[in-house]
Amino acid sequence: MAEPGSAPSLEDLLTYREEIFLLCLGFSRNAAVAEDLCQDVYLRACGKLGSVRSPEAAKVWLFRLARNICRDHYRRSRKVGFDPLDTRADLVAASNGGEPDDFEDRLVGLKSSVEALPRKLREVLILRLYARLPYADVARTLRIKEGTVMSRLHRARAAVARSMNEVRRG
Amino acid sequence: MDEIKDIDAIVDRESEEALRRFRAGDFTARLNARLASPPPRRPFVLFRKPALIPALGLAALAAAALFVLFPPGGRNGRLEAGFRVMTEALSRSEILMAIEAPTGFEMRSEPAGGRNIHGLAERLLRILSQREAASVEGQAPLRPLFSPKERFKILYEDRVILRVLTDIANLKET
Repeated sequence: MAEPGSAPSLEDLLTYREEIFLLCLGFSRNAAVAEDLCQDVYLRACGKLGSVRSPEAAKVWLFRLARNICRDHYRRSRKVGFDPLDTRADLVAASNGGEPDDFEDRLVGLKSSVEALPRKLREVLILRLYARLPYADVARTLRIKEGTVMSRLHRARAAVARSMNEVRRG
Repeated sequence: MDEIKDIDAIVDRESEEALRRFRAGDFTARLNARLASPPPRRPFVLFRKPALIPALGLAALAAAALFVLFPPGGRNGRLEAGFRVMTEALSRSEILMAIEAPTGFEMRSEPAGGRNIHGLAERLLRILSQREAASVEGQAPLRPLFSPKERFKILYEDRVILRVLTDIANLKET
């Protein structure tokens, strides 16, 4: 690890690669695109490592960078058409003993509901649910208060649940 | 409440599977390979943000409109000074002669300049008439007033006009 007060190294940043990957997964529709986005985040981060003041600030900086890259990708993909969703046959087989279930439909419903959320709610939901960041880190990444994170997360969950419920019924 | 638990369950299951694949691939080796290779050359893009294109187009149109309505002082001033000199130097009969003898002027200027010569002579005559009327009434001489369209024509035909002024001066000498 880098010493306090010095710029972080790439190895320091790589400790967060799984969380960054999950964050990218939340913003994209399939794992391959998420991995490409994750690579882009680290490539961009390598070029800007000198601008990070301390390793303590590196985590929030990296997540903010990832959020910006994912947001750009999200905006572009909405213009040219969304990335295709993964086929989930292997996922179903792996996690359900080969028995088919409605997971793929539920996943499509979830992705569509998340995409339909307002940007502020969507970002909080993805940082918390996918990247599994604590409330404090979500707040620092988005430069908002923890209370705001909680209220936005509550509203986002409720909106997604409502939307999925409507899809299921209708 | 069940729906909210359902959301967490779907996200967990999707994340687990995606992470399993992510861990199976060698992310660090791929990243190092990309870091070691030279960065791809980015294509030259004039406008990174497409929203800027209409904004810049509107700005260009506004600039062109401003240029037509309020032309730069240098060229406009030069042209007005030329008119002032010529209206003072030429007599009314000379200008009338210029109007009545379009053929000779067309011969001396460029082929498409006949209409311009005629227009110029008419403008000169109008200026002279205004001045004569003003001097009769004892008022200060009136400045020539041009509509924006006339101003535009004068500005962009000034090369022709300067040549015509030379022709008028030559005719006066002969």
